[in-house]
Amino acid sequence: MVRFLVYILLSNNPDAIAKVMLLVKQGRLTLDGATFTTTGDGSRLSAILTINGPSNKAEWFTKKLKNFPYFYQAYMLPLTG
Amino acid sequence: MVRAVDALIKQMTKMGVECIFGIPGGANMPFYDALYDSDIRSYLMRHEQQAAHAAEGYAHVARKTAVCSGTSGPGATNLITGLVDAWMDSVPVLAITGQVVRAFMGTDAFQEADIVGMVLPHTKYAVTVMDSRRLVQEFVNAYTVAMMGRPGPTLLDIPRDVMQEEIDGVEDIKPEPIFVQTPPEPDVHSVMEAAKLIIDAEKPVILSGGGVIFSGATNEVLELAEFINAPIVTTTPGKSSVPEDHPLVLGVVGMHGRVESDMAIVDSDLVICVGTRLSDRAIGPPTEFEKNRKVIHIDIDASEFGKNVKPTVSLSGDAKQILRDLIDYIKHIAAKKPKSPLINRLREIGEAYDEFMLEQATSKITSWRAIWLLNKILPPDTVITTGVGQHQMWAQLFWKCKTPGSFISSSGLGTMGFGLPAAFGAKAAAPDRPVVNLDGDGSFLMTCQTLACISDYNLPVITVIFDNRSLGMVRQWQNMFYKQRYKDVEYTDRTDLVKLSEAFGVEGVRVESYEELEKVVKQAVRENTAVTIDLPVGKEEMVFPMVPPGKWLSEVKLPPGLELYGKVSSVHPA
Repeated sequence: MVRFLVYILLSNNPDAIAKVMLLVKQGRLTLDGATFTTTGDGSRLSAILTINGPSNKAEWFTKKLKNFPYFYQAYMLPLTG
Repeated sequence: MVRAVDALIKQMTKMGVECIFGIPGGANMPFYDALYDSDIRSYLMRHEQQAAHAAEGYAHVARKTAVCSGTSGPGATNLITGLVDAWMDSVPVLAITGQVVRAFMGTDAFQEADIVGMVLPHTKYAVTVMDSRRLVQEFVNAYTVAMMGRPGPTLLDIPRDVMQEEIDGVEDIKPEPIFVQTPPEPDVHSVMEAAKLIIDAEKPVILSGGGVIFSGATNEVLELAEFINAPIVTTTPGKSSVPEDHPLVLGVVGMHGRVESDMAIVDSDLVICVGTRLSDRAIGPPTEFEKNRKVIHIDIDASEFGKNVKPTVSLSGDAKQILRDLIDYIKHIAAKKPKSPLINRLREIGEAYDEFMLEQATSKITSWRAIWLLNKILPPDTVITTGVGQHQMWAQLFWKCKTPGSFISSSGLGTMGFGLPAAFGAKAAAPDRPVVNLDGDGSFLMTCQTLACISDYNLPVITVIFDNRSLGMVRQWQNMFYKQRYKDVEYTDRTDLVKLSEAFGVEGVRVESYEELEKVVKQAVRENTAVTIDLPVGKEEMVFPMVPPGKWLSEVKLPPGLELYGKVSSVHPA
């Protein structure tokens, strides 16, 4: 199991946020924390999620986000300690 | 100024939408009103689930995004099974649903349902269009992204008043940048690494999935296999990715795969997986699959790498392009590999299985011999669809595809009732090709109203119902894993499938011999007419080979009485 931070730039709409959470569920990941903040003209959200789960699922989660046209960017950073 | 929905229909026509499958209702009536003046053919289905499956069948054959439609509430929710089916098998389908007017949204209005919320887990993109000026743009986005990257379903939910609002005319709409999913270029170092693995392998196998079909990579898979002399096995969605009369193609692998295909994987030291998500049904436990062999995984969806199986080398991108680069590189650095005796040995195993099964089937009609016969008499470009159950497994074992993309089945979701509406959609896309739905009586009865559409639109589909008056696969599992405690798996004889078909306007025939079956099918193909054939088969039939759930492919159970111990070390009789 690893703890990791995910940064996501996404469309500012409830469906996009729901999609993030549905992928957390599909990956059988657990959420330690999440913040969503509007950016720029308000049409996008910047999200920072702290997640726990198997390392392969962490990678899967970040790559899977890129399949859906709600997400502009997604990066993962493993956390230690 | 134009009605938003008229601008939508104009854009659909411009982008090549030729037909839609659906049912009108209160909330999508403006959409149908706009269709009235267009050249887009609309097929009035009898249930929205069938509309979605018909769109899947159409998309498979036309190799482009297909459109289905339903009204708000139940019209939309009825589409869900078809959309999830398309999600599981990566089929480009766009659903256009009506929604209650914006002022009523969120009030639990009549026929209001949050369809976007419901389909979000199983669509690439779903949106309720709240601004009429965005309607055409959102269509272009949803239609395009369904086919780009890894194909899949999308949904456009349109409140009735949004459709009816007047907007400025729209011209030359392109998908917004985030909807343009261009596959990455093959990574040169990974191509080189994969090439080295292939050259060093002594017993490589190619596992060809459904992604090969949508990528159009059939020739590249064959070229690679011929150069390295590797057997090709397929997943169920990949069954028609390669012609099964090719000497290197062994057939479908997995739980009810061909025994020679399962053994090819068991014996391999390298599996080159192309356009497959490596599901449990195809490969069994991933830990066993990873053991003692290297894995090259090629897929357009990078999230598949490591999801089930950890690859030795992964290559993200379009399968055709990656294979092209890989083949070119391998040909530069290595000579063609000589023919391996292993392939002949594997083929002998398959022939022994076929021979054994066909010898069993002398006194009465059996499903497998009927499919074997159909395979001999139907033209090579025949499109086959199936329901889900034992007949589907017999079809994947005994039907040999000769044309890429000609076998359409519900592989991932396993949706009973898929076959007939999918066949209708396939026939709409290819009216000049024979389309044959191989169905079970259980599956057929779930969506048999599609017969009305077959009759209405004169799109002649041949249906062969393998009629065992039971839910055969459930019965088989109750036999094998639940101590033969048969519960709710047997139907009565009271439902007359011939009369039922004729009630919908499609000729029905009950056949009692292989000769009759051949005669009826040949006549229907020759005259391009629809027919429903009720073919009685025994409910005691059990589909073997079978790998018990959770077991490795080497633990495949063979038909009782079939001995392959002399040919292969690790197969067991049932």
